Order: sequence, then C-alpha cells, then structure tokens
Amino acid sequence: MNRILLVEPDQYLAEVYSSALQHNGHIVSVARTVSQSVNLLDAEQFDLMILELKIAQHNGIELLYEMRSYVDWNKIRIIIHSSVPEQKMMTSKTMAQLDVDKYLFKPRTTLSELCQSVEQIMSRQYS
Amino acid sequence: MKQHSAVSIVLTRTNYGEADRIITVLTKDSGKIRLVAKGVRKIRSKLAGGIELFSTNDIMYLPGKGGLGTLVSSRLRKNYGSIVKNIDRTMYAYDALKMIHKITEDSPEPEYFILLEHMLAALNDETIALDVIKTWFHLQLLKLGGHTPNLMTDTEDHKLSADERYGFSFDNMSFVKQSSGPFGQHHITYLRLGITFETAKKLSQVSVAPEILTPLVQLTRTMLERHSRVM
Repeated sequence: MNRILLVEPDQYLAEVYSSALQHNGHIVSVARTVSQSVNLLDAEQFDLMILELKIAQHNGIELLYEMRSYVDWNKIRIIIHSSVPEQKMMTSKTMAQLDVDKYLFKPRTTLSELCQSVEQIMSRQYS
Repeated sequence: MKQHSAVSIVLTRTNYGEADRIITVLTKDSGKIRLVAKGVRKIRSKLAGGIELFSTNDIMYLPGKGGLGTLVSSRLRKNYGSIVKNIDRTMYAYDALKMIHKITEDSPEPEYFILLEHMLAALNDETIALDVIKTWFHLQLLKLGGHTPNLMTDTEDHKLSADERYGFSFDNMSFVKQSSGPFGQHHITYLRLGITFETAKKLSQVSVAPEILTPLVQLTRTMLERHSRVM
C-alpha cells in the first residue's frame, strides 16, 4: 500500500483522481497549494507525489526544486500531471536533474493512464 | 566573534540535519558565502522569511571555519514575488541562479550581485518579455566573464555589413559570412544593444520582432555554454 501526495488545486479533479487511486489500494493525501504540500511532506511519509504545475500564488516548479533540496524527500517519486505541455516546460535534462519519473499532459491523459503510470513507477520502486 | 552584515541573494538551499539549512548566498561586497541557517524548518523560525529564493535580504552572520558560517538574522529587503506567478519565469529564475552559482568563484566581483539583482527585477516585471531578459542576461554574463562576442568585424576581419548574412563561429566568437546565414543586421544591432544596456528594461524598450529575438536567445546561451562554466 503506497502513500501518495496529490497536489491538485482543482477540487473536482482532486476528488476524481483521489477516488481512483484509493480504489487501486493507495492512501492519498490531497494538497491544493504549495504550502499545504510542504506541511504534508513534513508531517507524513510519502512514496509518490502527483503534481500539477499550475498552482496559485506559488507554482509546482518551486515545490519541485524545494523538494529536491531536502535529502529526506529525494526518495519520493514524482509524476508531473499538468495542463502545461511537457515540451514547453522541461527538457529531458531538467527532468533528470529534478528526478521526475514521468510527465503527463493532463488534457491527453486518461484516468486509467494516470493510474497505470502510478503502478509502473511504484513497481519499479520496489523491484 | 564579531558579526558581519551583508546584502545578499540566496543562490542555493539544501537541508542539513532535521531542522537546519545550508544556504549559499551571493553578496555585494563579500562574494559568495555558505551559511548554516539553524532551525529554519521549524515553523516559527525568525529566519524563515528571510532566506527565500528570488529575494534580496539583509543578513547578519558569523564567519566560520572551513568556509561555513552561521546565519544569525535575516531581514527581507525586496521580494520578487511576481516571478513565481509565471511558470516559465520561475524555471528561468532557477536556471539563472544556477548559472550565476557555477560561473562565480568564491570572490566574485560586486558586478555579479548587481547583475543578479537586475535580472530578478526584470523577471519580476511582467511587462518585460522573457526572451528579452534571457538575451540580455546571457550577454551581460558573457561581458562580465570577458567573453564578449565580436560584434564589429567578421572572422576575416571585415567590418560587419548591413547587406550581408552571417553564421556564427563559437570558436572565434565572431560572425562568419554565409550567403544564407541565419543572422543579419537586425540580429547584430540587437546584440550590440544587449551588451550596452545596463538593464533588461532598457533593452525591452527597443522594438524587436520575435523572429529576430528567438534565435538570439539560443545563440547567446550557446556562447555561454561554450565559454563559461554554466553547464
């Protein structure tokens, strides 16, 4: 059973994704802002973070860099699941530097593809 | 031990133990300094507000052994908070901090601090296009590092002509005459202005077409990668 931090500012989407992931047996915590995310990361142990980049006030890039500056958070796997297209945001070099496992473009990713990506990454983690 | 004061900009932060952070700051008068910021992971730390990225801070610190001092206090002087409202600008801000961190040695000139401050101010100003900021910043870094491209003569030492097309030789840091080269008069003029103007704001007041500006971002970035330690 894996613990997932879902960083999703849209309440409706957060409920949908959270339900699907819980249905697959994961424990999901939801954060809607960067500061909520940091508080949750401090309070609990997570295996994976699913991250939308477009977050009000701060943004997912900040959270990503902040996370990678903490040694104890470097073990958390990361899926970016964002409405920002990948080619606009990240080169493969940046993805590698920030240790991002997968980048999913939200408008073209189905719910089952998101869930499959989670399973793939979690099974790599433990193999 | 006597406390020192400095105006600083945070370049990097990493964690150190459960509650502390190690920060590397660029200062105006004391170069680059590494400091332990104690207890900043605790919510009520008095330092927490003063060691944010994309801000200028007034710090007090104790110098330490082995190049690692201790941060005593930090007061926020100027926060460039608009940067994080835009993802592209945020990405570039991190990139720029990394470039400065790599390029500067332990005793960088004050000009690097001033340049970084101007760059953050430009990123914070939504009226200045990001590509203008990038081109200007790359050129200023090249200038500070003594790698200014030759914008007067080509590789054969002929004066650059408004009627010719050019490619660019990164080895010579000069334009090379090419009949179907990607660069012409407008590109060269813009580069000259980018080197001359002290702020990106001034450069942004020069009208430039995207087809001129876009290749210049990559050109200047490649110049930096070939001649500085940015990568």
